[in-house]
Amino acid sequence: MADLLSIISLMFLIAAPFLLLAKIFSVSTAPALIVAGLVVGYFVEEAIMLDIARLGIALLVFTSTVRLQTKDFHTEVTDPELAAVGQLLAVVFIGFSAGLIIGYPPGQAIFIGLTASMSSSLMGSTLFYTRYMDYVHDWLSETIHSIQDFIALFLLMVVAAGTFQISTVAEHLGYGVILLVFATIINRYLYDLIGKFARHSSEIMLIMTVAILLFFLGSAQLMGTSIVVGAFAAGVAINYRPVKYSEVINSLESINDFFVAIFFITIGALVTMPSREVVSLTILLVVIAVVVKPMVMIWILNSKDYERRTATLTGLNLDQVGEFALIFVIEALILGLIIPEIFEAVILAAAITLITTSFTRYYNEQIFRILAFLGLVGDHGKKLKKYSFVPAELKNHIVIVGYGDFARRLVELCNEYDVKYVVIESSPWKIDELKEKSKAFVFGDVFEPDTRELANFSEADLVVSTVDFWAISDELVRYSDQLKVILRTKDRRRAHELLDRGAYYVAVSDLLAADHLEELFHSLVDDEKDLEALWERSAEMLGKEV
Amino acid sequence: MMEALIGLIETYHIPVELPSMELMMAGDFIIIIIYAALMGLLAARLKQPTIIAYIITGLILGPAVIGFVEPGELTHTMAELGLAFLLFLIGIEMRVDEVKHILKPLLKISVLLMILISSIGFLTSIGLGFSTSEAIIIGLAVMYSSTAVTIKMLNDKGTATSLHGKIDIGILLFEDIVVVIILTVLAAGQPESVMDVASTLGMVFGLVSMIAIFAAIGSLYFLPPLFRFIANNQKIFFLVSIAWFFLFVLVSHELGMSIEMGAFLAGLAIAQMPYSEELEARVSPLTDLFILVFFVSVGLELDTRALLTYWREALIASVVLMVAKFLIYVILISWQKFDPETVFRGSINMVQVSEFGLIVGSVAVAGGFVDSAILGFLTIIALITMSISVYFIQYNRDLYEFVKPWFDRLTGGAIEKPPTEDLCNHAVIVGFDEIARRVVLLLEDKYDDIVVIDRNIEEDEAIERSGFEAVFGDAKYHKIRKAAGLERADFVFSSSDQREINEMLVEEARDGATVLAEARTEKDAVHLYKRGVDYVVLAPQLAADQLKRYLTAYIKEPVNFEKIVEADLELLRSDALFPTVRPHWSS
Repeated sequence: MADLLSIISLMFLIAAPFLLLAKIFSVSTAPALIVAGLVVGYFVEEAIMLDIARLGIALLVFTSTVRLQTKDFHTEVTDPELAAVGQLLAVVFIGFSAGLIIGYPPGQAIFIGLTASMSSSLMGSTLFYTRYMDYVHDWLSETIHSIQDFIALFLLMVVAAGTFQISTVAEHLGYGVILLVFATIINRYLYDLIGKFARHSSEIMLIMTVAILLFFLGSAQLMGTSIVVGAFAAGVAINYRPVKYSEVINSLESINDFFVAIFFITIGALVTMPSREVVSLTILLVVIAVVVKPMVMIWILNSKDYERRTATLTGLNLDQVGEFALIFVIEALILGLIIPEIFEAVILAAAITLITTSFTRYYNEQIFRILAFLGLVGDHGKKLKKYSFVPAELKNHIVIVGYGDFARRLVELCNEYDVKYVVIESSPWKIDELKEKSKAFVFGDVFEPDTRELANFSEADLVVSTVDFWAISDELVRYSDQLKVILRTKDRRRAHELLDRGAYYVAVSDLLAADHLEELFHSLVDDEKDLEALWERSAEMLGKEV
Repeated sequence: MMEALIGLIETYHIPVELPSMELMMAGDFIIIIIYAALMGLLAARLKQPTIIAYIITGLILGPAVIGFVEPGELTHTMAELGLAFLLFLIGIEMRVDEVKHILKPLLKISVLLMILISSIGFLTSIGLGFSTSEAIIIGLAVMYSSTAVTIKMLNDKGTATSLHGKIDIGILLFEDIVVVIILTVLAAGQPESVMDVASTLGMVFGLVSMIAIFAAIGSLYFLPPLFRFIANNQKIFFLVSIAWFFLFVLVSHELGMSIEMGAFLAGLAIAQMPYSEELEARVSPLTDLFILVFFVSVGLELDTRALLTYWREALIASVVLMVAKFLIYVILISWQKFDPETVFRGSINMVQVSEFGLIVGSVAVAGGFVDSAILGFLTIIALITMSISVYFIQYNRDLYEFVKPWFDRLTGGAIEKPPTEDLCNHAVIVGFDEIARRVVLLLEDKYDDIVVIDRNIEEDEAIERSGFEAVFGDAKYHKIRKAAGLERADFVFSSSDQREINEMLVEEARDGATVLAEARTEKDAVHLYKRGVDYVVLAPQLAADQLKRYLTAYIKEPVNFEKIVEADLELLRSDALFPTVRPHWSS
């Protein structure tokens, strides 16, 4: 029997080449580690790894809870909430039905549906940084993920009850509530006290944070409920991010990465030689994740008046069996609620779909075009005329693509100088503002020919894209031989390429900001710092006193 | 593996009864960490070193007192890995060119040191009434200083790379090699001939050399391109570094060598590359967690019965050994002509008897060389000397100041400490976007030293070629900010629009430093102003304003627009890292 040290060492050694492959193919680390686990499974027999793997589960849930921001929660039901719940219900139903048709009993088929619906990507964000979403589809899919994460956590607590009898579920939910209350007390009062008591030693705060996690894990086990509940409560206890705890949060990342890597490798190692049943079930899950889920999302978002491109790109961001599903099935397996066949199929499906999702994300524009060509993502144009307003005589005008901060200033400028213009924008929630502030706008996707036709592209004088999105710049620069095109991009290298392809000018935001800053700079570095003047300008910009 | 899992499931699946300690996931580990955290908290409050807290935790939880915890395999493994991670971390901090000049003196010191201390140990044991064979084993056990205690304390104090730190670490590593040799010989049982011992020795030397050569080849040939390839992905960078660490650990483990030595060599191979600071920042938290388990397990291994047999003798021996070690170190280190402060601090750090002594003792007991009471004797000595030495190390600077007048007269070396080359009153730039590039150009005349923190290795290299300094890493890590000398900088510019980073920067920058930071939103900007940032660059708004000015020119007269953007276009077409052309507006 190999000792634990050798086993862990072997795991990381086998994982290394797969991680390099992940880097080469720009795939996330989770599937690389699961596949490495498939290889490790040949060498490692020990079930001792399960303890460490479950620590990895606890850390995954813990860190994703620490990451949740309370501003993610609000009581109004908006599009992402509806889309998330709608997709979940639809996919659970489809998965459940498919499971029944294949021949599984309802108690098992429901797990097929549930796991297929979980696309959350816990490994996505880092613990530390707030994420700013630039693009509609990224924002939509991130929000949908968060909502589905939360629902998945709730379902996990139900699963942890080990049975679907109401009384037991209620009992376990009760335990969950007790743990959450205690976690809230730690969050509000105790954590700060501990910090002060420890004189803010980062070593001690880290150890205390890990101890708090383990305390909740231990308590959850003593209460007979799942460690996931404990881990969630621990995350609530630490969900608190003033800068003074930044070292602790950063340190947790390393511990998290280490144990979570072991978790994924162990999960892969638990898969034995797949039988025919496992293979069929895997194929079913992959098809649901890669085909059915995106189609459902596209249909839902289309019906909410989102452009078909936005809907497709959002759908393609959700086309995986996510890491959360793995936690779900391992807990269910330990509780004896699912059969090993389903367990193995979910692992294989997760590994496959986590790889394929990297490719669909990379080629999302191309996939959209193919699907649009095949007529699978709905028609464009129905909403176009409904929500657009374009005056009759629109010639020698400026076309402004996008309606963010840049575009708002341009619209003000055009209004001031009475220059003809039209705005093209595809976010439904900007329609009201456009009606109020813009004299002409088209609600549509600039990729669509109908949109460009309505905006009278061919007779425009200048097109200004205010959206920093390569696919749009790449598309618009094709028109540079017919009209003047000003584009926006992040860096000089891309700007250079666009200029070579005929762009009239390329706005590199940071460059423009640097130009502006240089004028102000001398006030800052000279011995007599003229900060007052700068602060006045800032106040002007911010609309408040600085 | 599935069969084993199903077996476990049947064991776990008891929905009604409460799970007992054995069935709980890693129950012993949970108790150890919680208890150690509470003790550590107390230690931090009382300003005591945490090592003491952890050892006491082990003592209380283990068979010596409550006997509540029986360490499982997870705990054992984490303890082993704790020391290995610590040595890996130290290896990463070592730059070969910084230790080259002390290698020869180190070798001379180490050999004589071990001979002298083991002789003192032997003679002291004879004097206390032990037999010759027992005295030999005791002599062999007490000659080491504690790698774990000394290195952890040096690391915590940030003095691992000071001159005395390097000397101590060098000696400890040498002792590591000797321990491995001795353990290998003892573990082979009673030797039949001198040839037996010689062949074991030869094998050990051969294996250590092989591992060292492999590490050197790695460092020169395949690690640089490998790390360059993965540097931009933080997670993969970290996991592959850990895999490199485990390669050495596994090989050392399978060959019966010291995994700490392997781990140190693994770290040393990485130390020569620019990624080491970021890796240090990533590995430190793991080390903190695992080394805690190590120290707790030292306490857990203690057994009361064995402890009490020779407690009086152990007390006497502790005092004698601490004084003798200190004096021997002082004589030998000053013989190599190091300055008095280095001599004092280097010596006082090493007065304890190492946990390796306990391992030597255990192996000697297992091999039938001595009985377990001797192990108890060694244990008390280790406990007393480790605990006291922790305080010596903690306050070694103050102690030196206290004895300085007499001490400097007695020693008096010729090797000057190299002057510290810490950056001061310089400019620190965090991140390297277009705005940062412009800021660097604008600051060039005003500051002699400009340091850029950035996670793009190609840019870092280009920055260094342009005559500035670059630190590879993420500024969110304290070690990276320290490497850039943030707290001594006169000017700080952050091109990160992450509010959390900018808050940390303004908090750590010294009073009077000028701090500029970027922000994405007005809300973040106001927040940063309240925190004390001197000026917030709202890049999107500034850019939008600038574009509006350009388009105003276009609307009025397109020809003017084309003249205005001429310089911009030249800039955009340039591939230079620091293009010298300036746009129209600034002239």
